[in-house]
Amino acid sequence: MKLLTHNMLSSKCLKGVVTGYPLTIIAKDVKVSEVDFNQEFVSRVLPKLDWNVLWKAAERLGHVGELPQTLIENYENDPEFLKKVHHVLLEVEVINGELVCPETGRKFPITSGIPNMLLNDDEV
Amino acid sequence: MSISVPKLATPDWSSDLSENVYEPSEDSFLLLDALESDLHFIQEKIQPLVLLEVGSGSGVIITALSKFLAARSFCMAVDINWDACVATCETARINDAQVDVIQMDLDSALCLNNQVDLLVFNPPYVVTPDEEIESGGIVASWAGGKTGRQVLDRLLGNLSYLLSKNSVGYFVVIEENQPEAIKVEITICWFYRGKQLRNVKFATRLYPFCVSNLCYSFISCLVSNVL
Repeated sequence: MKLLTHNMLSSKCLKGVVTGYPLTIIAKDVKVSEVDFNQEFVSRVLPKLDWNVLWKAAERLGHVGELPQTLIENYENDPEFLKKVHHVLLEVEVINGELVCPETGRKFPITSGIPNMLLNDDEV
Repeated sequence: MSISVPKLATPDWSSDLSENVYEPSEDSFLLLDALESDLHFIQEKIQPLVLLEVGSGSGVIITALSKFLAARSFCMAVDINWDACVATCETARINDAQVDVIQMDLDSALCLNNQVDLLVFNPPYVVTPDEEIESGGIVASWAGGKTGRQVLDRLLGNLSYLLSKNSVGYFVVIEENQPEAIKVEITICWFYRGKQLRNVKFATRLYPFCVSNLCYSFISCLVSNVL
């Protein structure tokens, strides 16, 4: 699971949960691999995402580096900044661990890089 | 001067797919054909950043799109079946494509903040008794309930929350699913959401396909707000 995916996941499908966002990451294995950088992609995808959630997830995994807690202005023209964002969005991957619902503490396992977000019948 | 027409190459997939995973078949290839015929539109008009395939099965569709769009996009795949999630990862790996896979029921664990620019769903469309839908495993890849639309309809209701304001969705349906009724269904859902969003519009287009050795005629249904 890449942090871009984490930014779009929620546990609000659980009965009684209001927002279920963001899910807390408990990482057991983290893999970092090189992924082709496309400046335009990173620049255009950022407005779709929750920066604060991305930053905190990256910090939790120990990969936040020099990224500022508040999104900078005019990042479209800042390739160095966008490269760092690219790294946390696409190159850092949780292979094994858990995602935890912030409201109920329900844990969703991540195995071989795949989060299991399925619910039991009595949880819906 | 010749204009080169972009191609969507069919990816390789593992020769030892689990028997619980739907092997790429005629409908998969027709969906690839429909996507290929739209590549220009996808590249120029949609410029998708976030792609989502629901029910990715073997993963050939999302892998083909990921190979084509490469670093210009982010591809996600979801499937309710663990073996299919693993197969999708494996197909992506074999083809050196980037696809992030999540096991979930349709879009149930997604934020639904209008983040998806290109959605693909080859749903279980075969007309079956309703109870077969719950059978799980390989049956879940084709059992669609009494109109063959039980699963598709659950996703259609969320389209206006899932798709971004510049987006497109592709669905495989057959005549028995009543494609015209699907268009009406989408219109109603979109209409109610549109009241809140004001300027959201969409259009649908059907690509009829006939497959001689199958008893179904396939239709790929497209819904987009940029047609």
